[in-house]
Amino acid sequence: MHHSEWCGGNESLMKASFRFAPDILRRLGEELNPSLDHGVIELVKNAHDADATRCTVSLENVSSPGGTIRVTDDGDGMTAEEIVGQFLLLGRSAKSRSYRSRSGRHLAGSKGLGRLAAMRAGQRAVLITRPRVEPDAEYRLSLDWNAFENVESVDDVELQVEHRRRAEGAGSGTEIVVERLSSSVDKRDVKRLARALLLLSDPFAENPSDFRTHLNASEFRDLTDLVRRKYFDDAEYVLELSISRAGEASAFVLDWKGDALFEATHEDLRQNSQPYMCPKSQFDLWVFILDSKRFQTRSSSLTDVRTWLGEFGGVALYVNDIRVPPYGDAGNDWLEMNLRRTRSPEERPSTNTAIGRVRVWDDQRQLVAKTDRSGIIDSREFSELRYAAMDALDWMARRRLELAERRRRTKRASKQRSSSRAQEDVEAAIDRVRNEIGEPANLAQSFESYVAARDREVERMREEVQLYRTLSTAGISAATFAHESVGGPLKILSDALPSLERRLGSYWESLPRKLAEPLHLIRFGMESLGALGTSTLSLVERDKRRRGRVEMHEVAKGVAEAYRPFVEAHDAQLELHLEDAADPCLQGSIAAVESIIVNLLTNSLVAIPKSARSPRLVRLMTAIEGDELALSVSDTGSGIAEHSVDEIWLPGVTSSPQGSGLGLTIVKDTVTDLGGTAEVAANGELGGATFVIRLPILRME
Amino acid sequence: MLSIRQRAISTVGVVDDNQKARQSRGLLLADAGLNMFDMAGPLVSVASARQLLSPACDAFICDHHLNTNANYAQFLGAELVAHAVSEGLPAILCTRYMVAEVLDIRRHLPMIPVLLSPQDLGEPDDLRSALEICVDEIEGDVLPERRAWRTQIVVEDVADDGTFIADFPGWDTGQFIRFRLADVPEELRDSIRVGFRTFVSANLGEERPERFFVVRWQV
Repeated sequence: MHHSEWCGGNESLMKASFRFAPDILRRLGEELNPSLDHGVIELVKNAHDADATRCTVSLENVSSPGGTIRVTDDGDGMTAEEIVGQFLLLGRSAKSRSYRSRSGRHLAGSKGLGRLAAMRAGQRAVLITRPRVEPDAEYRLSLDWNAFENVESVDDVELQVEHRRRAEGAGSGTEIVVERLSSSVDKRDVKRLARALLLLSDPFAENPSDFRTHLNASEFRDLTDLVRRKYFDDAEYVLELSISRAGEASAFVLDWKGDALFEATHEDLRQNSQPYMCPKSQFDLWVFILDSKRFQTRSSSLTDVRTWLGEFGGVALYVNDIRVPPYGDAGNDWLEMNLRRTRSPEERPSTNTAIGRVRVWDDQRQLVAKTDRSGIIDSREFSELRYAAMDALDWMARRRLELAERRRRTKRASKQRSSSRAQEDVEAAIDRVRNEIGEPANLAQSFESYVAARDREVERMREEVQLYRTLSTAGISAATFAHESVGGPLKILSDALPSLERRLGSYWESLPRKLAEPLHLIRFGMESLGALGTSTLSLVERDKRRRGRVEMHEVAKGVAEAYRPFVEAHDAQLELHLEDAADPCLQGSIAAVESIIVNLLTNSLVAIPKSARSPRLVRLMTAIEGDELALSVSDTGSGIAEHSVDEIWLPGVTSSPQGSGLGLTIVKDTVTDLGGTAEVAANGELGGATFVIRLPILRME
Repeated sequence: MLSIRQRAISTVGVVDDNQKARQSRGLLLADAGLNMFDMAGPLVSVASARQLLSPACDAFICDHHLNTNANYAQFLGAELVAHAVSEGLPAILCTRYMVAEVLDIRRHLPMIPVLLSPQDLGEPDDLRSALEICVDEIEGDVLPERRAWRTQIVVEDVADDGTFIADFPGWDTGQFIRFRLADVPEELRDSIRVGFRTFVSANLGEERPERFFVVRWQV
């Protein structure tokens, strides 16, 4: 019993302490460092922390189980006391006392759990170390993991640190050999390890770190070659964001020549102007436009740049000069570049078209790595750092969008200029003709009247465009209103009202009329509002604008169902008579057909209350007439009286003071686009107007 | 309290960026004899939101648009529900979804057993059957229409906004489905053009396009 013994006099005490079963070694190692490259990188970080300038990883016979991994460095090595007091002490390293190494490096290694995983990858691990402070000494420690299998507690296995005389000329440093690996290492693992080693300290930095890593594998050579081929000069523009220690940010976008295109102050970047609560940082992003035309005149090929970006694209994170995975790894999009690009693709880079890094100088250790090395713990500081980088990306996208818009406007203005220049050219030509062959009959006069007619046409188009813009704005507001109400007030009502009904329970049946009536009305109003919201939103669904085969009856049924509540709110009935023997289709878009039917129904809803006819009725009907579908909308409204049946299609013509006068114009234009015709009877089959739209159909089925 | 497959459900969380909407959802829970856990914001990340939810409630109902109010959450409800379900916490995604929402939700659908619109979750019975489906799926008992089968996919149209439309000849409904390029494995994205074919696994037994999903793309 060596961990507890009775002591003391009359009152005896048993000394006791925690002991750990050997299984804990396996679990800590494996669970905290799930893959080989994670573990090996931890050994390499220890070399970095020991002020090594070079660390070499060798893989020997690893393609099948039983191989060896060797990690060698030329760092400070360890004394026997350091092996016992630090290397073998898991969970707390000397690093908790100091943040810096002897030469001033920020310490990168973990609490010793990482190296445990790597060393446990084989049946035996050997540590050979030559301390800088003892120029003649070499120490050796061998860990035979099988010895831990049959003991009760980890400390039942006695370990021995062996002292030897150092070979002549051997410098300081450490070598860790992991032997008889329990599993094989495949090509993918090697590549991952090579990439992790290469990117550990930023290989693209202007002043590369004095810590170099090396792996003896062809994958590493290939990647090193790829790193050397820096294509930064092919970037179209560069984003540079700096955040000061006080959280004050500023940013630039530079063009390929290095000239500043845009410049942002803190206020331009951050909406609420608060400082970013993160350590001092710098975010650099090189953005490429991978367009074959642009690369025709360059020395580097588009394919090479694509391959390079494929390997190193994305934004890596370096805290105190050491990379923190998985940020910037393939598939990791921590700044949501791809997500935002898919939402609004214009002027945004993706991880495949940009390469960058966020460097953080974290003296206060505000960014804490997760114990399993899978990134930084979610914290205010880390969130703020991400927001800052994302704010800069947003700002750059906004500015680039503005620039694109300005270019578009300039182009439009120059088109106008070129059209008036064309007019001048024709006038000059006419003058020349006049001078050479005398006054030809009315040539100048006809051209003048042509110019006048064209100007009138342009003026009319301008007014029409303005009208459409106004209506689009109204449409956008309606869609916004629908969206907001559907997600908020309507949702609340549709929860609260059924609950009220449930809670009234059996009283509900016997509720006096004066309570039941308003409740029924609230339900009716709520359902109508819901229908209004849904039908408004349904009109703007993007897939409906896609051209293709449109099943007319499906669209008619859909619109009728969406509009039935409004028709009923006008105390009217909606009748739908679709020719059942047919399933007519036409070439066009659902949105186009919907806009015809919706505008005609809206027209009827305005006309119906103006007439005293009863019952109130709207009838939507289809009939096949040869190769055409006749779609008609009739109502019991007031018919067309104030304008002639030809005038009503013109923009701005309306009989209602609130009307836009555009609904029927849109109907006519859309019908024309679809290759059809539109006509109207002022007083049709139900007494009010009857509109008949004839559209060519594809084929009968 | 509800008991589903030996799982006691007594407290149900409500995740919604509108406080009044959470309150009104609480009415349904009270009527169903359940306690409500009102998930107030701000929610920093999906993982931390899940950690707040799982000791506090036995299941939760989640709206999709959680980020219309930036002070509430920076992620979408579909992400949270899929994450929670993958970790064994029953969750129902309840939202008025239109085409735009479905485009966001689709990639998470394999891990969203129940997607409902608010009017389909109006009564205590609706809630119970939704939770049953959810718990069944967590226990490995998946509805036939949520099982994935290998099938061919053909790209019909590629838009310039990072989305594309695909046809599934093996899916009886004849409807097309729009995907984001980001839903597709990175190795495949460059191949996506009109006429491109490959194999995927999709829940062919589902007839509603808004619940149709793809789990594996053959690269």
